[in-house]
Amino acid sequence: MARAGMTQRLSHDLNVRTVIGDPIKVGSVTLIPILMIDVKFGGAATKVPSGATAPQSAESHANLFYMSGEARPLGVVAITGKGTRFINLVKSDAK
Amino acid sequence: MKSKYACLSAALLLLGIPCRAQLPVGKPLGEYDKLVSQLKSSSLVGEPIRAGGTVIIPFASVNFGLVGGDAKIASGGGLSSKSVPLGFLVVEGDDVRVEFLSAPEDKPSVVRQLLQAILDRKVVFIGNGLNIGNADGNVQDLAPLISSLAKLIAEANITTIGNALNLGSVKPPKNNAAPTEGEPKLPQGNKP
Repeated sequence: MARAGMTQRLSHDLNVRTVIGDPIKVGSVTLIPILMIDVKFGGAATKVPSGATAPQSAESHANLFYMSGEARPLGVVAITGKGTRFINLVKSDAK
Repeated sequence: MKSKYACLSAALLLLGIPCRAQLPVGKPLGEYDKLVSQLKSSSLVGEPIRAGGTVIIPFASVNFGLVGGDAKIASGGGLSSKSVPLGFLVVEGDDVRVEFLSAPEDKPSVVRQLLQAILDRKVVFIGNGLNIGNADGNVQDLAPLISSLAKLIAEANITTIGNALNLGSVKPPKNNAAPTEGEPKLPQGNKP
């Protein structure tokens, strides 16, 4: 079923490994990116059967789907000799 | 860095070409799998760039959209993707700091520019500004209205779009004389 397939895909594709990036080593510093992934997906279909008086060719259908998404880094965990801290990569517009 | 985003955009584009839907959630789900599998941290956080004792790591956001549909006689689809650099991390020894890039200015679309022009009253839509329908009268009766409308448009320095005047079935001048130069000419015999 399509719905079951979508549920499986979401649990398979979106997991911790997707949003926690591979560590980046720079000298004695290790950076671990933290990501945000936002995916939207939808579809619709209609099928209008031919009426009693309409010819068979009058049967019509329409399908529509869309998908949109955004991926951006939220921050990095910086592990340095001084300690471990989270560095925010989301620019705050509020001043 | 740029080439990486170009590759991602090209991959997104290739995914979008065959996306004319035959089923609303059939084939597109396969494309969805490919798309999500390509979204990795390396797509958003670039390779470290070393410059002396300083290392710079750029980061960016990726936006994408995909739409498709088909009906009995037509099908179509669209794809958009955008990669925007957000800033970079600067690593100097044990110090890590972040520098943000200024947000790119949104270039207003044509629709938004037109909407703003309408709000600023630089563009005025006049659809059938004067419709006399089947009312009795002739074109000479309209002269004051036409001139006042033209004066309004000229004084306000505005652009008009649409039909400013719908004469309907107005009758020609009573004396049936040929219109002089500069006088509006009416089509003859256009009664419904």
